[in-house]
Amino acid sequence: MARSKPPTRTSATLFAALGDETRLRIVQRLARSAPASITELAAGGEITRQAVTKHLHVLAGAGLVHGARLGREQRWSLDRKQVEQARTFLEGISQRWDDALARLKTMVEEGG
Amino acid sequence: MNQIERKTLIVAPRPRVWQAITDIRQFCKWFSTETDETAFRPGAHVRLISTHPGPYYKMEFFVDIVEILPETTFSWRWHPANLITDEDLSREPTTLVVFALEDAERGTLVTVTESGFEQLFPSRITKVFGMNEAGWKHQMEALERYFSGAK
Repeated sequence: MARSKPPTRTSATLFAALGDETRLRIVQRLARSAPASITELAAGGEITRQAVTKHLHVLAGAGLVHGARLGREQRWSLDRKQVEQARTFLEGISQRWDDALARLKTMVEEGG
Repeated sequence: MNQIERKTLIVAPRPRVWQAITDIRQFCKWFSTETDETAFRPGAHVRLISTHPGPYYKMEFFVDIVEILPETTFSWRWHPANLITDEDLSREPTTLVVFALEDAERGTLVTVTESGFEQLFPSRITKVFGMNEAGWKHQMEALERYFSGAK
């Protein structure tokens, strides 16, 4: 349910960039292996090279991936620091909710 | 969907659970906060002070109450993680926290969702949270779990 705000900024925010299944799949694919080309990223999937290119640019705008030219080909790799930051952020918040809900449960059930 | 969802089953009737969440005195107990306010009301800007032992002890934060639907929904907007910074957050986007209650077989199911993280800018996240060098595979799996169900 990403908010469809007009793209006034070229750089998508981190979570908006990750909040799309296809992009998340690209991120996962890049996490598993060495830098990949657009052709490799499109191979075997139902997404076209054009779609891969579009998604890579959104991810690059959020600093999640970057491309480097290798010979005649552009190879894309993941910026793991950025992904890690997103994960750490959500994990910290989730942990606090778990702790708070555990205290609520204890208070209600033990009649505190 | 960029949101966190957490559930807990509480072995107690719904009115009791509702009271524990929305009566400000009771809320303060389990949320580890204190306040000068006497009630939550829709539209209220409520100042809370953390009483949780640790680095955030006595730090203040605010919740803007959005909706109170008796025994069903209680929601607020706030700056997530705002307890761990001294920076001015007034221009930062907020997230929406929703408590939803429903009857369950043995009590009341409480679901908390926090959404709106896509509005937060990477710079904020970078500033607020440090890096951690844990195993990469684990990180990706965890990330996948957080975003699973995204449509």
